Amino acid sequence: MFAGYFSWLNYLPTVVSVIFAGIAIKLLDDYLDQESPEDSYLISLFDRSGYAYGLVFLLIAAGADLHLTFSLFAASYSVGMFTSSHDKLPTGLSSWVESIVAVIFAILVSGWQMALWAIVTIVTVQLLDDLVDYKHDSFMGHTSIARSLGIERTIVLLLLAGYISLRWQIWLGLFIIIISQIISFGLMHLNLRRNADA
Amino acid sequence: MPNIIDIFVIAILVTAFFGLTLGYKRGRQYGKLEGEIGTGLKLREQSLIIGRCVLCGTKEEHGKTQSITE
Repeated sequence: MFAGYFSWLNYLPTVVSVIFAGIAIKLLDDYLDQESPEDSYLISLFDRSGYAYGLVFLLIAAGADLHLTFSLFAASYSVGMFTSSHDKLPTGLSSWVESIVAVIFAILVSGWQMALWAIVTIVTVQLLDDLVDYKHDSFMGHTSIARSLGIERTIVLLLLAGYISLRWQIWLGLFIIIISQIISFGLMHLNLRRNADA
Repeated sequence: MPNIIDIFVIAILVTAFFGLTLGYKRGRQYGKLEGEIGTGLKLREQSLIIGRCVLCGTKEEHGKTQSITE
């Protein structure tokens, strides 16, 4: 009789996976970009234990939904490495080679469809972030896809990647895009409030 | 499986991207050329206005050239 009332619980692992993976990826991104505590709420919150908490969040996400977490994390790593300017990384490989290795692992663990969809979705999120941060990046001299290609081409790429991602998995894609923006804006808002109070 | 509408939309967006890329490259080439021509004309105009070369400061008076240090 009450089975229908609890059907939303079927989505709980996916929701937990997306939220915790998103926070872990944001934390890792801030540490890799060597953001100062003034610019990153997560770094100021976790300080030196941020790496440990990042791993914990990733483990929680993987425990909730391993395939989704792996493909999202591998896609984020792959897109991040591909757009970074490192020539040689500590592994001895170039950044674009590490990107391809991450994609291969994602395909082996999660299947080629989920890996490919994850990449397209993360590209959508990345392009959206770059467009939102365009003015700030121009002011600070940071490189981004929007600054390299220009706003018009970035918008066309965003529409293309977004269309493919949402046509493939509309609700999950939409959820990931919304959660990523909530995490970004939420943390930025918390940071501004903390800096204002200080 | 993608249907005909998906293929159409993707084709339009891919074409738009390549069109913008081509337009950007062409525009940059023409802009660079016009900038080079315009810069030369602007320098000459400013030199005539101030009566000296804006780059080296040399001026010509009564058939004699005078540098800015003189």
